[in-house]
Amino acid sequence: MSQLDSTGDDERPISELLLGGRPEDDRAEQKGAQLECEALLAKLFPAQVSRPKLGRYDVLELVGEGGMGTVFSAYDPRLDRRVAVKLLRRAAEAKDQRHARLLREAKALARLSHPNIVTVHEVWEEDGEIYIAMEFVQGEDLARWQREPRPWREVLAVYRQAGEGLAAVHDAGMVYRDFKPHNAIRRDGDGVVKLLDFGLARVEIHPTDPSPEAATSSHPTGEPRSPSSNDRLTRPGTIVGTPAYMAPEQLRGLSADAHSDQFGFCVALWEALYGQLPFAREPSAGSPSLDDRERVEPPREPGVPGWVRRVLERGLAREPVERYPSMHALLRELARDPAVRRRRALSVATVGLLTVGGGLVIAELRAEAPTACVELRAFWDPERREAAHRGVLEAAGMAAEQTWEALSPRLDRHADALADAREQTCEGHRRGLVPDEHYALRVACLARREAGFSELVERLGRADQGTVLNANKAILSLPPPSGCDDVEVLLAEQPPPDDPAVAARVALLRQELARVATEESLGSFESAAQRAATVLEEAGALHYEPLRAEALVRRGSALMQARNPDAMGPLDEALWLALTTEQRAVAAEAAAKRIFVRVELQDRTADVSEAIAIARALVDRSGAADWRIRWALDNNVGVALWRRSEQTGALAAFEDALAWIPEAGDEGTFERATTLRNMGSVRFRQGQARQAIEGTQQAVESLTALLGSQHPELRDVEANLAVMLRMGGRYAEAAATLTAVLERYRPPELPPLWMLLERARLDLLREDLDGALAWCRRAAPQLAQPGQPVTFWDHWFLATEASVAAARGDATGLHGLEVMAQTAGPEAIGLVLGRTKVLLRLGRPAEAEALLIPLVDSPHYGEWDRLLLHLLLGEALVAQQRWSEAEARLSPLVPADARQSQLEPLERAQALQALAQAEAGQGRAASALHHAEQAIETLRGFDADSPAMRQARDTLAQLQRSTPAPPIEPEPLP
Amino acid sequence: MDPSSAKHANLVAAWKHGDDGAGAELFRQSYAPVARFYRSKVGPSAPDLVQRCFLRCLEIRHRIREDASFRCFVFGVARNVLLEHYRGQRANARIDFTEQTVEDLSPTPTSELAHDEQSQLLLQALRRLPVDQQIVIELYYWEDLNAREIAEIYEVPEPTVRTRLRRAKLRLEEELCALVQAPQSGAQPSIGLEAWARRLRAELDRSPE
Repeated sequence: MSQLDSTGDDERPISELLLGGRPEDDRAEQKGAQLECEALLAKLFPAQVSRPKLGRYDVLELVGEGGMGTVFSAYDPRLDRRVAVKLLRRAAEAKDQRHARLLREAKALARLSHPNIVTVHEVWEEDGEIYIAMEFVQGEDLARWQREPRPWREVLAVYRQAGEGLAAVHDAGMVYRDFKPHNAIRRDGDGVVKLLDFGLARVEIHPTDPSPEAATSSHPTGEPRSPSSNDRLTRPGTIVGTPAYMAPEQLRGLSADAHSDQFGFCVALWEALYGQLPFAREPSAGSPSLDDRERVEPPREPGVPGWVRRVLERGLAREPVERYPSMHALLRELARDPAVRRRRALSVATVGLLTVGGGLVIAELRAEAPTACVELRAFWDPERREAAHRGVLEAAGMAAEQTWEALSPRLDRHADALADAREQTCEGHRRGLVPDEHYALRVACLARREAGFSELVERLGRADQGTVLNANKAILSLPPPSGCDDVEVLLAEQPPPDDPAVAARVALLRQELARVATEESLGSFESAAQRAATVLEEAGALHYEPLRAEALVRRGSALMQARNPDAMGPLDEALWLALTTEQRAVAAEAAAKRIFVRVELQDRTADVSEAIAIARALVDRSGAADWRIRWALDNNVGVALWRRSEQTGALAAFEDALAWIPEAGDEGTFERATTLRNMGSVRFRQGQARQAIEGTQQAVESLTALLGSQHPELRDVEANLAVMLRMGGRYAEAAATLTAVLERYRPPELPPLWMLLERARLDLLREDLDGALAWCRRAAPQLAQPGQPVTFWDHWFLATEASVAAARGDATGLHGLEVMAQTAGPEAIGLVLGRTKVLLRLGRPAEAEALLIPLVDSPHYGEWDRLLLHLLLGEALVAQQRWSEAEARLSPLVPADARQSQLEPLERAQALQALAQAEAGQGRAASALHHAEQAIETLRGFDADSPAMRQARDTLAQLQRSTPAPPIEPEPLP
Repeated sequence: MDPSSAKHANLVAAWKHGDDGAGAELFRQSYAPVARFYRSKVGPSAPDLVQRCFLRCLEIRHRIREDASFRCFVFGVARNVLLEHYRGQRANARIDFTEQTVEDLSPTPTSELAHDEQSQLLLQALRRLPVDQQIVIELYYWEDLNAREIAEIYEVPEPTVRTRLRRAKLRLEEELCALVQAPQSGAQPSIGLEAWARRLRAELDRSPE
């Protein structure tokens, strides 16, 4: 719609209709109504009624009317263009005097040429009326525009244009007097903001001394002064303006000057930013406390920075002298992000030290307005797409098609987003909506994003299997182009140096770091660490500290991923450096990663608290837009607590970590799966098998969606799920899951030994001895050949095979285990466990005891292994009917609170059964029954037909038989 | 009866026989009352509604009865267009709401707010009436239509119009009293309703008679 209204009020109250009722105005009013009528008739009856004329213009239609006049759209046949013609409506002043003044002012306005003021083409008099022909602007006024919530930077950019218009009015020695959102129009298409002339009738020539002192010094208390004859010359007889936007001095009936315009401008901008007026209630004319309005606190929520608010508060000062000296000064402040100032302060320290120039100048950094915005997407043309596709197919074998299917739409989307962001930034700048300094920052940021993307595309073209398998994860890890909109964050996190030559070099090095980040997420950790080191060196040579901090954190991160404990060095340095350069997000990332290094790579779980505290403080203060940093912190804290066996705290931290991951889209799939898996492990340890399994199943689902079901990473996760299912006694499900995983390995690829042995174990647990042997045979080709180092899994293989044989009463497997033990040493846990179990199965408990006694408290074993050895020793003692010794070994293994137990459910049930037998043997029937029942309770959730469950029930039944009274009801089983 | 009615009847006949110039003349003469009709109710949307009203008249001119008053015909159409406009506003409740808010936030220029407070009071009171009561009052006082003519517009029996008119006047006086007693105003209606209403009309009226 076109909007060109002389007051801009789109809700013209009825009261205003009365205001024009003065006899001397009737003629203009009548003229307006007549034009309106004839223009309408000309539209309805084009053959009979010709368009009315105003000057040389053909009147088309009425577009607005208000207190100050009526505006028609019209056609200028001579210049073949559309114009707006205003018929001035006159107010209450002596006609001749006013008439002359209006004409003079209108002509002064016509000389005013400024992009942010509607251009006046012509001012003329006809039949004693004053007409103004001006530029016709198609658009919406700011009142309408700001009804929708807008980002604060956009609001600021739009209002700064209006402010430039006001400043131009002031420069011409005039005052606008009634600035409000209705009086500025934002042109459709290019977004240029123009002040409408509607201040016109209110524009007045400055008093001879326009200084603020002259306006205020004579009445410093702010008391209304009675209008003197002098005042009458410079102000109309009554208060004119819109109270909500009027300065206190205007409301007191004093003359308005440039400071009053500044006040109105600030009211309007405040309203646009915060969605409400800065004062509690709007004053009404005639109220004695008109200018005594209360300031309201703006809502915090829109995220308008504090500095903007402080600038506006000064502009809204009650006393004109306390405001900015001019609109120019105000606008300068509004154009000044503190982040820019910080950048300047920083560059002072570096500028003198420059040695490197290199003659490289990047056009982007010079912030020249482009003449046109072309689509720049060389980073993703059909050729590159095809090369990437080919690379993926050649490298990844059977997972390739699935990978590409998931990958290619993600690549397309990301490339589109990058191209859109480029175009928007360019267009915005061309139209003057994006200031030069912001434009340069955004473009540099987008160039970094494009570099990160290009690295991915290029790597796909010459991909190895690892690259392809990580490609989906990598594309999701690329920072989104939208991050480049936040100029304040860009300035704070990647401040550009002031020297153009250095700036150009730094911009290139930052692009290289973006590539390094991509390489890291593709899994080439060593190479990423190396490239980061190169950037670090160059940054050192440039003496540009912010870049050094960025390079350090990349190097530390890559080393961390490579599981290299040396990661701590660069991460520490990155943290301290980023704290001095105030790169909060860099500091936060370094701090979050230090936790992981300390816990997982340096095994310094005990003194991780300080690292956590530092990281928390930094991440909280970073205002990090990147949720991944927040996620990483909480996830790593969870891991640290878990390692310290603080399960509850760990779970809470993982919950926090999940909360940072965006719900929508697939952006956070990988992170969600990671944390869910971690939670699964903790919950399992806590005995919450069901939740653990559910969480892990969720992780499997989301990873399948992300990576495709054939992805190797999924095999590991699903195999882990099978282990959980097994520990929870759901043997059938576990076997099915694991079989499915194993089937995904196609020759020449061999499934890992541990998975085959785990599968054999599942059959053994179900007493499917043939099945177990078959899986063992599949594992056999992977065993160590003569001359190769022997591993735990070789031991475990032999133990499994021997166990199967022993279950058939065959002792031959034992020999192999003993031979192996002679070379591996007595303490090899796999062999010890295997030999003991086989001996127990074969009914040779004394030999088992003899084997265990020297080892059972060896510091060589971890806590868990030690518990297992105690359990086996207890069982050996029970088998020898040495009840009290057995009880002494067993009872510490089964604390009354099951959550305190570190044993898996099956082992705990075994310990409880052995304990029950030991107690029964000593005649403590009640206690024995209690523990036997507890064993069954521990196996809740196990397959009902599992041997473990059967054995537990047999034990209970046996005890009940040998204990005549009192009869005990066996607990119903699920 | 309005002396212009006979002239109108001739113009209507000519128009229906194809003389668009006669149609233009009819509209020219109806322009001021119709503009006034909308201006008192919809403010800035008035020009738009005037246009819609005339366009509608143009479309359904074959239905104008030559023996009936053209003014009644025009006001009947004007009322229908107005009600459509209100319905459209209500249908789009969001816009309605935001406009309300903006009106609250950006009050009108206070220029000469104190000027003729009494007329202002009457207008305020009028706007507080249900739309049809407002229309009845205005047609009666401003357009000098009698109860029979108003009945023709509303297509109801004449006594019904008289009852409505009485109720509307009572309601208007109530609203006026309420406004006067409201603390923000010190003005008292000092002249009779009729005189007042007529004066208001004169002030609203911007076209030559």
